Amino acid sequence: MDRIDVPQGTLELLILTILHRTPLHGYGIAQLLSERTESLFQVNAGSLFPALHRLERDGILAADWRTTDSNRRAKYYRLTAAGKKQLARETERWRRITAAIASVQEAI
Amino acid sequence: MKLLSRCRSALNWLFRRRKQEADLAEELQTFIDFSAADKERAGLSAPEARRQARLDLGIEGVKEQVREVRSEFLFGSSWQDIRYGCRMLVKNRGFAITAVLTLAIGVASATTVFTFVRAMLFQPPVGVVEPDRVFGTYMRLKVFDKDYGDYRGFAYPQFEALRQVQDVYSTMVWYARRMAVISIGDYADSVSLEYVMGDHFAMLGTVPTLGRAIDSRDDVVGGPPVAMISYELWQSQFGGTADVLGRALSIDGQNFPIIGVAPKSYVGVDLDWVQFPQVWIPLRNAPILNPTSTILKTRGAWMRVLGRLKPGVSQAAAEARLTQLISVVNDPTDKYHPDFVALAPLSHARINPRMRGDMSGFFAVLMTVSVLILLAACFNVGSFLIGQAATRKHEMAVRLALGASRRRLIRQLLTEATILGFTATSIGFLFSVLLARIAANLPPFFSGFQLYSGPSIEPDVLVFALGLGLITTFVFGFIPAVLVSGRDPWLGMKNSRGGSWGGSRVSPRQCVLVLQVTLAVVLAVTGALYSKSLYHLTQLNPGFTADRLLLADVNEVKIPTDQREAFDRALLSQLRTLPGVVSATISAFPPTGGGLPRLQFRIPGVDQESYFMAVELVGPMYFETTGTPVSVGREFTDTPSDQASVIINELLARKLWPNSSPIGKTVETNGMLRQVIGVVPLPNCWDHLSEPDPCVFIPLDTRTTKTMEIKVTTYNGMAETFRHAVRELNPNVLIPQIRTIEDHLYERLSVQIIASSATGVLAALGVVLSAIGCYAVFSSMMKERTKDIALRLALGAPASRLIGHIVMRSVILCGTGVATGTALAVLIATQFEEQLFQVRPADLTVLTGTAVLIIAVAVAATVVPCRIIARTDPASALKTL
Repeated sequence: MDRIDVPQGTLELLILTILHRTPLHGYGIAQLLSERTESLFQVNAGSLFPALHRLERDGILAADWRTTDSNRRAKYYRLTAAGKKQLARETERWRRITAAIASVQEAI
Repeated sequence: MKLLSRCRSALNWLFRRRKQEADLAEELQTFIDFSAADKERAGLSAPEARRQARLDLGIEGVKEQVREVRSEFLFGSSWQDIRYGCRMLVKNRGFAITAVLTLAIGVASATTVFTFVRAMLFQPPVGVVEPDRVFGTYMRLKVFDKDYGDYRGFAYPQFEALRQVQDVYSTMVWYARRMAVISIGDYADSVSLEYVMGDHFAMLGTVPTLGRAIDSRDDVVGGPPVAMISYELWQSQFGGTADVLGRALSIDGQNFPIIGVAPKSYVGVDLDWVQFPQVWIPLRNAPILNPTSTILKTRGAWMRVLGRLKPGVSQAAAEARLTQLISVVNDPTDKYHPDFVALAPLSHARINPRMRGDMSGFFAVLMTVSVLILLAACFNVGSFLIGQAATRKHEMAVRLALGASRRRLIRQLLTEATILGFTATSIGFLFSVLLARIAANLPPFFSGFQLYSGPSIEPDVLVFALGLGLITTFVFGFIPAVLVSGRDPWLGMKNSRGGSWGGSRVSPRQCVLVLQVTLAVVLAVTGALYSKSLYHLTQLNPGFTADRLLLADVNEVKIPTDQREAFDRALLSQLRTLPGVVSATISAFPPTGGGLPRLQFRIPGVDQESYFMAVELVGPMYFETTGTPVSVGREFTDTPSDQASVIINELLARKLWPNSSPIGKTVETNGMLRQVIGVVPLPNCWDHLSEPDPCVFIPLDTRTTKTMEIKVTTYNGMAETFRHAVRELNPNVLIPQIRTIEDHLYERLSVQIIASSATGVLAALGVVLSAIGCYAVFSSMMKERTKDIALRLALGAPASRLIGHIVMRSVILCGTGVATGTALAVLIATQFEEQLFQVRPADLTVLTGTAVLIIAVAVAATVVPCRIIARTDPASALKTL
């Protein structure tokens, strides 16, 4: 199956959803994203890192350096309290968008 | 929250750049390592896996994107925008500096006036605990159910009765002020003294800098004398040393040990006095100063009452309760029959509510003028920003065409405006701090403004100034930003260089210019009206020859009453023999002194009841020395029989004896019969600035404080000669002050001088601002049209005609401004008409003079850029464009 870029405007939601379960470093997020969508979504580093840093800058994510299982230092991102609120808002927004699209499709 | 986090991030990025860069590099390297490891597991060779992982990431591109995200902060501007903005401002530094300075001056004047007015009208004294529970308490009168508007003080017995009410105030204090002569060693001065009760400072919560405040131990009948002095007196006369405690301060000749020093800048509660108190003594020490003091019986607006409300008692409840009580307390024979009690919160009670209205007139003018200056500065900044945007039409159009978003361009222009505003505000703030310093060091007769050093520039004032500056530049930066970025890029590029003359379309910048001129006119007219009013005041004939007259206050409190007259006589005859002295005399109050006493006056056999008449007490040769002509009769001489005589002013003479000579007529003052010996042509006895009022002069008695008038041939060294003469005769006589009549008259006019010089300076500033505006508008107009000018010159148009065209345009624009400005100025001036002396708001000379001046300045400011035309070489101009 062809790999497609993450739809515009959803990268943030996807990052927040993934980090909601567990703190993760940049590569881990990209991997998880690709695994969960069975390699359908491809997120390139050029979008991922600016997005992560923007969220960190705005206080939605926080980050700290930890050692991975393979004994490497990596920057782990996690949700802040503001991040959790943001995730709830984004999820609700997404639910409404998909519902709206579905209702249009049903009508036709 | 988000904003805070952004600022922190941007600051981190700025100041911990190296660490941040290293972190970013490491983070991306980890990504590559993980990615390479995965690729290796999938079967690639190690070097190939690494190569592909690097390629996938595009490390430098990602870094650059992250950097941009990181450095963004307020309004989404990045450091890049700020750097670019600074470069643009530096490039146009001439106008940028002007804009920054004008805005700085505007912010400084607004901040200064704001601080001053707030301190006078809305702030409790420094160091008061829970000031909103402390209330000034007054009694008021109703006439025909109408509020009479008078806020009177309570007589002490009334206060005592009110104090018995237990359910309103937890503490209630009564206090009063008077002038007193203090001396320490050789130094003597007449200062303001406040009588306070034992719980006065405890109620306010005032903590002295040194020693202790006056408390209930001190305020007992027959208690020993104690005094608390002001911080300023401590600094100036005791060198700010701790051993001041226990030292004796002589007050009206009596020794008072000093027990404490008030906090710095503590000027007492009341601000509606010429001088702030320097000394506080217990109320029950009053008999020490004056055994026959009536202070505990009389009543007037200068007797003040303060109280701290009990918890849970509201202002309305307290007023109702005290009003109910006051009718019981009332003395039925009292002429002033108070009808109700009114309270005012401490912050509003520092100026008697009765006087707040009068004072707010002056404050209103100050505020109006400072707001106008700020507006003028805003227009200048706006004009600068519009001009900036206009000359960058081309740049903006190119950026738009290359795909920059409109948002991005507006952001850029706003960033520049914000830089401008921030710089200007910071400088303006420094200006206002400087102004406060200067005001604090003004000569003593500006004493009312000493307060100015009191309210230090506080954080909220900083916020106020910052807000003013930033909002101004934001608003004035936003309009041009929207205008410019909204252009069709194609049109923008096509028209950006050249354009034609003819365009009668009025540009936003020209609108701003008209507004600027309008403001300049308003300011100039205000300044001119005040100056003219001041001129009238100085030209007013004081009724005497104000020339080479020395005024010396003498205080004889330390010599026995029965020796005072002999001393005066001896001193005067001694003075008259001195070289350089023409004549010398003595009076109770200086000429044009104000504050004369009134005594009971009647014509025996004519008037049944006596009435109160203003009186000045003078010695022999008073009129000769002060150069006042005696129109009928003669003046007082040294002969004892003159003790029972009186001199009246012409107004009184016409009133009493319209058809006969007043000389030899008998009048009665305070029960004593006196013969009229002379008439003087003075409108009143105290002040040529005040309304005419009938009044009398009588021979001086043995009062403690007097003024000596010495007519001299030169002022040089005469003050020293006088001091020496007094010291030789009697070293116990104090000399608080020696001044020339010119200084004295100047002091009497100080408020008018302050008002007219303040408005004058501001008005001049306004005119300069509008000149700068004219210059900026026309020079940029000229630059934009160099091509057009060159073309016309090449085709043979004479330069003079082009210049004429531009000047005409400037005159039309400024003329519009002058017309609206004049109308507005008259409208505003009618609001403060009562502050003007013999000048009407629509004063023709002032209005035409201002109009001519402003238009002349505008034309001059237009002609300067016209040199561009004269210098233009058509061939080169056309080639380069």
